[in-house]
Amino acid sequence: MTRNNYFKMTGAVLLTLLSYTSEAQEPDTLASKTVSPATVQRLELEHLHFAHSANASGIQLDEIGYYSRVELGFSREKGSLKRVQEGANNTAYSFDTDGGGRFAALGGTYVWGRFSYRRMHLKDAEYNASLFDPLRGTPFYIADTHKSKWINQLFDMEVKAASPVLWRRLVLGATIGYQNGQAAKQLDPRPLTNLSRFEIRPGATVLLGEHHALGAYYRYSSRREDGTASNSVTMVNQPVYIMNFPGFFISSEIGGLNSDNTRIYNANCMGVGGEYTFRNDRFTLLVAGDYSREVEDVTNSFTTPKMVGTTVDDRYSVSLHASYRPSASNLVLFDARYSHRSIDGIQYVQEYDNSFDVSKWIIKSKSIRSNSTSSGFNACLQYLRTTRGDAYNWMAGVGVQTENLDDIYYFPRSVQQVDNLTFRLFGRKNFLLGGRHSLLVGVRMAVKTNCDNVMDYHGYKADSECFKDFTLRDFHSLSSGYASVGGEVTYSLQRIFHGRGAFFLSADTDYFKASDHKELFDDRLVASFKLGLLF
Amino acid sequence: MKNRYFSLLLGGAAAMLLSSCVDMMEEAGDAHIVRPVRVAIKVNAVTGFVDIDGNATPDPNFKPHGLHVRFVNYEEDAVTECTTDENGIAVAEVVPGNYTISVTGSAKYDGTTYYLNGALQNKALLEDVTPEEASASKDYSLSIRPSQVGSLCFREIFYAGSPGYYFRNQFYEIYNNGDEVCYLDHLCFAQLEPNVATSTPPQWPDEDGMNNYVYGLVVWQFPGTGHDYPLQPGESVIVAQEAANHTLNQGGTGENALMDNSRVEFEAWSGNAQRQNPDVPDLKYVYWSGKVNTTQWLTSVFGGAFCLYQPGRQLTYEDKNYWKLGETTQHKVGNSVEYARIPASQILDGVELIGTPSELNKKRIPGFVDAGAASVGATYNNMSVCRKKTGERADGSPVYQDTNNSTEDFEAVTPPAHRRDGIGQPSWSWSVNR
Repeated sequence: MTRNNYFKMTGAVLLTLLSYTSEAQEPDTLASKTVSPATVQRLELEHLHFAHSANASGIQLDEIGYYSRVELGFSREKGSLKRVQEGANNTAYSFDTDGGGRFAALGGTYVWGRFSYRRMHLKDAEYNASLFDPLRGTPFYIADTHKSKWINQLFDMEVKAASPVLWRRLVLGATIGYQNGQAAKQLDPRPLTNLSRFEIRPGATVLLGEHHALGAYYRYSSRREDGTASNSVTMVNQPVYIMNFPGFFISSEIGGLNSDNTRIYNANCMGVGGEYTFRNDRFTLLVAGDYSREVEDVTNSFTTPKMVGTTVDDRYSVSLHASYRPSASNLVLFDARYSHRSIDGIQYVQEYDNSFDVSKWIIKSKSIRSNSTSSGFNACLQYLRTTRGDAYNWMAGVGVQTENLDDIYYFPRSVQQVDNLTFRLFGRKNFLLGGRHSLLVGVRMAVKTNCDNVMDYHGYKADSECFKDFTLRDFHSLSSGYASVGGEVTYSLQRIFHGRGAFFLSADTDYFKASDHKELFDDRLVASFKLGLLF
Repeated sequence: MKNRYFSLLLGGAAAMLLSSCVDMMEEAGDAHIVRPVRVAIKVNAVTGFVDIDGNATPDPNFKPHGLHVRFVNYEEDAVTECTTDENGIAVAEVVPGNYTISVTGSAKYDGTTYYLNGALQNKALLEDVTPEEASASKDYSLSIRPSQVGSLCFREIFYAGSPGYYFRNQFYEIYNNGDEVCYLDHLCFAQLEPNVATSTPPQWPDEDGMNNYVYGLVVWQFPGTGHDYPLQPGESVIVAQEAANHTLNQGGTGENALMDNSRVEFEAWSGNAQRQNPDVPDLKYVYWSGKVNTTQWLTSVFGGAFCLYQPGRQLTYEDKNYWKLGETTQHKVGNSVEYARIPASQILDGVELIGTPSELNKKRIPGFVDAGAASVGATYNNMSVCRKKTGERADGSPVYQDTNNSTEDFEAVTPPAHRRDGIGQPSWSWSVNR
């Protein structure tokens, strides 16, 4: 009933917006000579390499324009429909800036950069006393029993550059990214977790005649994350769980003489990707594939490290992206992507060699104890009515996504499987309010349905609180369906700063209502507000 | 030129980075999906010396049949249980890992009941072991030392202290749990090394073999010449760190009430004139590893390890004719600090204490002394470990559980108390007639 209501509501709003477009269509206006939120959105959507490719060199094929954006944001999310380790009541402040384009002064070199800063306050986050992002995929971490507040901050920057077309055939490019973050838990046991990540992706694209191009890139990244949990009330030990996998853990404590309170994550990732591009005046096709392997060692001490575990994270994806422009007023975009991720959890048998001249942990054996596989297909079809110069008049889209999660712990054999299906429907209308003012209004809805789920646990902890309250609840959250409805409103004032720039204010919200396990999950509201400038 | 050096440096750094990254990936790629292993363990009962490699001659008088064997992987909280067959072999299917294999049971010999308790600590079980291989290999044999079901035992130990970081009211109660009178004369009460639970136990010289000795940090000895200090069945004697009425020092009430230790039988006084109760006889320390701490004898509030042993003679501190390296003292490999070397044959009872029950993987004294470990779970919580009562004698005095496994025999209780359950006080106690 709830889903149907959301469908109806969203359909009604979309129809209202679309009906308005017949009157609002008009030839290119001043909008084509200015930058607005709609022009940047369209730029991000229709330039396929810019939107979807990890190969910076391919961006030259997009012949993309120039823009830059700076914005301040505030976001809020609240509600019980969440993964267990996510905060129940979160706020975040952000500063983002990005921009770039082809620079004639550099002979047509494309340069684009991005910088963002986020400061997040998570409240009532559970079962995490180690990680900046406990949902990033590692099964090896320390979980505590309290609902805690975390204060996290993340600096994230990225630069892409692509050479001009060399010898009419070759484009060289590279992407360099760097992240640095800190996460501080505000309740015992409290780690201060430091995170840094560096990534480089050199690539090249070869033009094969006027319409075809082949590209390839190599990816290397290094990530390090470490934190030591301690107690500010030193005389009270805090119970924790040393997690090896959902449902497989040992009980321990932070405090006293227990020194197993540190986690040091050291990851290296290598990968390759390739892509084929076809393009003519009306049609652009990008077919891409990539594979990467990230190996992350987890140790528990800076001085006498003992291997806690290793993850081997294999990812691959294939995708197809197409844009079709039957006329100057119409643009159709289609994206389809299949992705697969498999994380092997390796555990070690070690022995401490305390002989006088060695004194370190010796690895006696290692084996893959667990695997988490997630795969999914995602397809999205969008139509843009492009009668507003570089912006658009209105757009609408529909998407479908499958999600298959398959977790296994090999001995004692336990499995957890979840199959989900999500439908999305969305649309936006760009209202011109005369002169320099415009209003971009969007609406969207989604329905997630759980198709199948299996929990077959044969571990030693079926009666433990950690299994029942964490593992089972998280499984239920993964396999819980929902219906969501959301919208956004962006007001912009254009032609500032000598005519090209724009000032904008936006509000964006989504409301999710659980359709399964209502005894555990109710709803979640996500809202964000931004103000910024575009050039 | 500078650019060339810089390029070389950069190239070298990149090559090293790539090389270490490739190594890391190759090592991870070597791992295969886990396969459980089927492991047999041979249990032998030995009464003689066990060398450092575990070689020992089984004593045919003790049949290791029907003993309960637990394979515990503390790194995964996995427990597999089985029993030994008529050949003393136990077989279990386990995931590869480090296991503590504990054996518990009893056997009768010559009309006397002996405990057959023992443990293999941190044994890496990585591949299948057949019963034949176990019988032929000392690596998969466990030599356990029969220990007599003794009368004297620790009944209650209060080590964790009280709220307010108060630790001076620690006490140790020793009880006669048997049916015959015991004499405390010459009895030694030792605090064992390592002082706290550790996953990295010390390495002792090979000549000491395996599980033939425990090592004392501090050794106290009861006075007497042979029959001066009898302890009747159902009676206990209490040793306090500081024999004071601690209730006067701090105002805790109820479960947090501090102990009145002013009327205990003995005070483990180490030389602090400001902290001595002249009414209470001092227990004499006869060995102190390193320098004597004259401030107090404070044992770890996280849980120490203790044993009672009978050397059969009066000992004296710094008696160079008795305390000799390699005979009655020993040092760790690579360290010159000496500890009292206590032979297994002299030990009457032992208790290992750990900070929390989850630290059982840090057990540090041999299984024949204590097959498990007890804990109050925290520090300064005014809790003690107390032996579980299993019954009463005809005179109403309590009988306590003593299977030589503190995990099973003890429970954490609060508040600590002297002489629970109507336990008697020895007639020679100075405080009886005061």
